[in-house]
Amino acid sequence: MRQGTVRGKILANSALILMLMVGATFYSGFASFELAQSVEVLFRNDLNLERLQGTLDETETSFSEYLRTKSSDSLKDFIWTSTQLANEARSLNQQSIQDPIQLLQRDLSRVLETYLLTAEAGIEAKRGRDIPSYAERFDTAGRHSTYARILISDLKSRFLSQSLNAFSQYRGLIPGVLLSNAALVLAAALLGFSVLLGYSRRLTDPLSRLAEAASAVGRGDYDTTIPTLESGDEIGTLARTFSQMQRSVQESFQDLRARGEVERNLFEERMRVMELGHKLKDAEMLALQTQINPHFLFNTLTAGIALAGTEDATRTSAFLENLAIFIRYALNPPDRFVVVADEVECVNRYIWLLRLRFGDRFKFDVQIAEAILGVEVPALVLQPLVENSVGHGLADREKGGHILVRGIREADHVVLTVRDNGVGMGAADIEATLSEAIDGDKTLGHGIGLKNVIRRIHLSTDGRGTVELVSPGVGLEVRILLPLHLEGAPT
Amino acid sequence: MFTTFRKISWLFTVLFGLALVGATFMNVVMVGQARKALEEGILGGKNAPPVLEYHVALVIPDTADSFFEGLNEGVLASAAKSAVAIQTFRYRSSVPEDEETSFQLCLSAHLDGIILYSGPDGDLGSRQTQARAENVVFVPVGSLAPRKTAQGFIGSSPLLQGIESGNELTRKRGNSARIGLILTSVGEASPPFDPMFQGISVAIQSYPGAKIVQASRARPGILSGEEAASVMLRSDPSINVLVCASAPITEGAAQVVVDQGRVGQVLIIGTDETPTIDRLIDSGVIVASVVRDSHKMGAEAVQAFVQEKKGTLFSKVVEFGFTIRGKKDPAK
Repeated sequence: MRQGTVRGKILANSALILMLMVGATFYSGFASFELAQSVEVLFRNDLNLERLQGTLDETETSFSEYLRTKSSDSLKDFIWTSTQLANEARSLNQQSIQDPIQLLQRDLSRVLETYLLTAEAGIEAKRGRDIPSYAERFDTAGRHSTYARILISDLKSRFLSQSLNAFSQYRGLIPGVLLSNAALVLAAALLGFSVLLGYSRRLTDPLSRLAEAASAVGRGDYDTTIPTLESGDEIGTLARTFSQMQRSVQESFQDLRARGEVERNLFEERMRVMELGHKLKDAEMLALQTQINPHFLFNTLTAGIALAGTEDATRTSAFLENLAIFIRYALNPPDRFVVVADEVECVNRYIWLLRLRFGDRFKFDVQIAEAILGVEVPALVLQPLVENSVGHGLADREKGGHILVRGIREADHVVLTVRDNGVGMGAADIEATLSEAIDGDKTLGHGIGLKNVIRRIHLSTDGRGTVELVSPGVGLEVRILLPLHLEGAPT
Repeated sequence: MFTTFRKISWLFTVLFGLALVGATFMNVVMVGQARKALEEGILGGKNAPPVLEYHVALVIPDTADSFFEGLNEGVLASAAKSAVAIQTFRYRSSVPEDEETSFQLCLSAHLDGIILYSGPDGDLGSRQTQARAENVVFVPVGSLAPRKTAQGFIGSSPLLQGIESGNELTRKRGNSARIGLILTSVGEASPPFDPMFQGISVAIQSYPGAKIVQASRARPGILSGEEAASVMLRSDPSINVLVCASAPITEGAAQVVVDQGRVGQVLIIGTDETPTIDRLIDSGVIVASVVRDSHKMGAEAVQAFVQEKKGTLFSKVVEFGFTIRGKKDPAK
């Protein structure tokens, strides 16, 4: 039986109370036993004294009978009774003890001894026919016998008096004993009641709280607080187990929620892939359309060139030829790599078309180092920059506009620069343009060609190629730095 | 609510727990006392009393007199220090044979010693001879050494007691003292031959006007003093001093004087000291009391026995003096 259990505690308390009561009851019972023993002692002492007196009487009778008749029977009787009297006398106290009854017993024993000695002397005198002597012995023995009777009587009365006194004291204490017994029983009963009351509360209080928590969990409130019980009894074990169960349920639900989230994300991903698939198909359709349209456009332009040739419209023929070549270059896939010479030719044709349109409004300079003409770079990076300068930087400038296109080698980099003397860009705009271009912001609007170039360089060079925008107050310089050897570029 | 209930529950548990322990303790104490009463009275105590070297009988009258109580206490106190067990025999003072019977019984029991209080008529010499024949030490104790010679005796002198009483009464009444003397039941048949009477007579010799106008002997019993004093004051209203020869007589005479409303008119010179006498002295009913030191007498008797057992024969007469117990000075 574990002491920590509720049952153990209740049993321990009950056992303690029971032991106290049993102990007190046994103690009272022992006192009652001693009372009975005392009564027995009282009667036994009285009986012994009565027997002693009877033996003395018989001895006296046989003694006087022998002195009177000198018969052998009376002598035999005397010997028998006197021996018995001597034995009984010896059974009395012989010691000097400061106790009235003990001393009286000692007196009696000695007086009886004296009596027997005197009587035996009288018997001897009778047998010797010494008449005066046995007569005197008879008288003397009679006196000693009287003293013995006095002592026996005194002993009886003293013992009775002492016993009565003891019984009176005992009787006087009985109400107190009964009262204390009643108080003992009452206190034990009330204590037991209090302990049970306390335990019932200690049992029902945590059980009620556990029941409330269990109801809450049953309603689905798995986050409800389970009462903390530190006791080592069954209720504490129940609370801890219930708390563990709650945690297990909470963990299971968290797992389920996480799994649901994953499945939802997976579903969304699938949806997105499907959507992309749709878009891809749309793009393919669009691509087919764009493949159809250039053929039509080239055929039409070729027809225009032939028409211009038959009509001797040399300038128109050159225009259409340059336009057709430019469009073919521009409509090829933009993620391809081309040599710098191709880029320069595209820019020159585009500039030729712009001069046709704007006349002397803008001045163009193209300065490309021979050393980089064969270096491969992403296609279509210079023309959009020139277009951006014309369309934005110099849009409001009626004349004096200047665009410089440069290409040089710096260490192991190719540096392509397009600079104008237009309105330029603020620092915030530069930062926003670079950030939007890198993040792939497809917002249409101002500088879309510039952003397109920046992003394509970033993507096609895996970030090794960079674009810098410099606007020192007047104009804008777009500076493209490309490694000489790019991975993914055809060698 | 739960906390309050728990507190109350604990409070009750502690309270009733203490009550249970208290009741158990009370029960054990009460039962223990009851058992002790039985053990000591009937069954005999757990600790056996020690065995002593000698067994001595103290034989005294059964008179309710503080003198004998003091004597008994003195004997017991001294005996406890000398390994002597004392057995007290009280003989009826109204039955003359009882004293002798008690003595003979002690001889028959062959005790080690007998301390016997005897009046002046006791044949102490013969008893001493009988005791020695039985190898028993005999120590007689009394007020006055008997006329029949005893080799050893411990007592107080009634003659001196009379002189002390006379001195006290003349100090109060002088020549105008008219004295009534109440003697104990034991003693000379004719009061004028009593040593106490003679002692008073000696003390008042210097006061010619002072006179013992009545002298009688009280009967045995505790009411004897009251009876004797009542008769005496009725027969001679001129008595203004009562001299009483024992404590019971003193207490009885005081009762009569109070009942007759004659406190202050009749002065009482008492004997010995009891709580009642002390109270009556302090309240002024009794003028003074001549106190015999019976306690010392008892102790001396035991020592005499022990000395004789050691070989020194007890053969001298030892008389103890008196002290006067008067009203205490309130200023002190």
